[in-house]
Amino acid sequence: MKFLQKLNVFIPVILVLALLWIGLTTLLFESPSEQSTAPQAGFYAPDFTVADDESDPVALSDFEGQAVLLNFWASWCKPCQAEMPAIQHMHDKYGKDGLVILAVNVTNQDSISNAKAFLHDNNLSFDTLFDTKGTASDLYRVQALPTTFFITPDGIINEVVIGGPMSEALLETRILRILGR
Amino acid sequence: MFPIINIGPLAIQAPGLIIIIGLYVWLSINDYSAKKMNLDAATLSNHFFYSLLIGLAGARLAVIAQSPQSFISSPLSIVSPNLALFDFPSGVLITIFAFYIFTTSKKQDLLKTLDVLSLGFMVFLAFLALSFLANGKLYGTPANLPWSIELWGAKRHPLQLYYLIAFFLLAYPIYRLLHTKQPSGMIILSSLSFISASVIFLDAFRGSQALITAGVHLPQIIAFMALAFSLFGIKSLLNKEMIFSEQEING
Repeated sequence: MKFLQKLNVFIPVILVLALLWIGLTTLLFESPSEQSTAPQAGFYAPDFTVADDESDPVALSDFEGQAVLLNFWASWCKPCQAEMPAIQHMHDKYGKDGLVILAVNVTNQDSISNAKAFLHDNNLSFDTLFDTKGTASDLYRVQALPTTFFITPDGIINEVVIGGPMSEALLETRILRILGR
Repeated sequence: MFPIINIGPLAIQAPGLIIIIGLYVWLSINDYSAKKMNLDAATLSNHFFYSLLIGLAGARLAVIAQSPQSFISSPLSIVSPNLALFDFPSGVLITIFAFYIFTTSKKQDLLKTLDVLSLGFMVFLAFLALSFLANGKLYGTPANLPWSIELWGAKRHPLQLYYLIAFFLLAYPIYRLLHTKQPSGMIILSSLSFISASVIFLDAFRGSQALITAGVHLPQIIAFMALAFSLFGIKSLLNKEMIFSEQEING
């Protein structure tokens, strides 16, 4: 009985304290405002510059205002090979809708000749970049291949998919999201 | 952050592995708890396991329902092992619903069954927090403290660790309740109150903008409602227990 009486006091006290803490959080704690850059969903995608197949520099910021699928791959990576046809199909289907596909070859762990041979043998026509010094893959903390970043037109990473191969359905659902459909 | 564990040629996704280990630990603890509370451990394990399978299928169906055209043009994707093709919130709801159906259809005491699951669930939540530490999600607000961790370009509250420690510590009072005679429902309501209180306190340190509107943290609001429900539920249980005891004494 006494315990129940104590509970009659204890419960409202706990709830009032909880409400006070929620109030403090709302009024005094600084809400997370603009996000900095980081290779994580919810953050702005870090900018980088690497060379294309004609050795011209290409920066991620060159595609500001466009939805970007950023895929890190290597020619020896089996899951990377397996998902390339699906990525090509998405390029054919959504390229005209403003989707940019940047396939960044992790050339510091691969070779340009092998990568180019793979692209040629598989008739892959989307933009391929060569990260010869590993700067982009280090910046994006790529620890497994393939790793794919889906970036919205305002430059925010919508999702990170580590590993593969990604199916067409997975690619399409995520691409439609960053295209705003 | 350690999203990938490299063992020779293998690259294992650490968050997924941690969750699988957490589920296994939860199942194992269920066996122990069921024996303590004189429930059929084998039946409970079966119901739990089948519910998880149904939930997994439901999580995939939810994604298909959201984008049917994508799966019509690529039907093999229906059976893709890729985790990104599971809608986990839907999967959790379907798992809960399936478990409810299994339990009530066998006319088992639902509250007592939930009590049995509570301790394992608390430990599973700790593993879930560890998986968030592995993939860098549920990150904290920037803070320059001796125990801050460097994550996503800033020193931050190690929110994942806060949750990990909270859930491991709170598993102990649940363990103690399991070893004392309690009315059915007491343990699950106590667990719910502990979890809610943890979320109310710790969500203040969350760094992500998601589920925050005009400074109001939606998880805190939901947790507050759950806390109120669980505390009044505990009071109601104790009241009934007291009335029942008085009736027994009075004959």
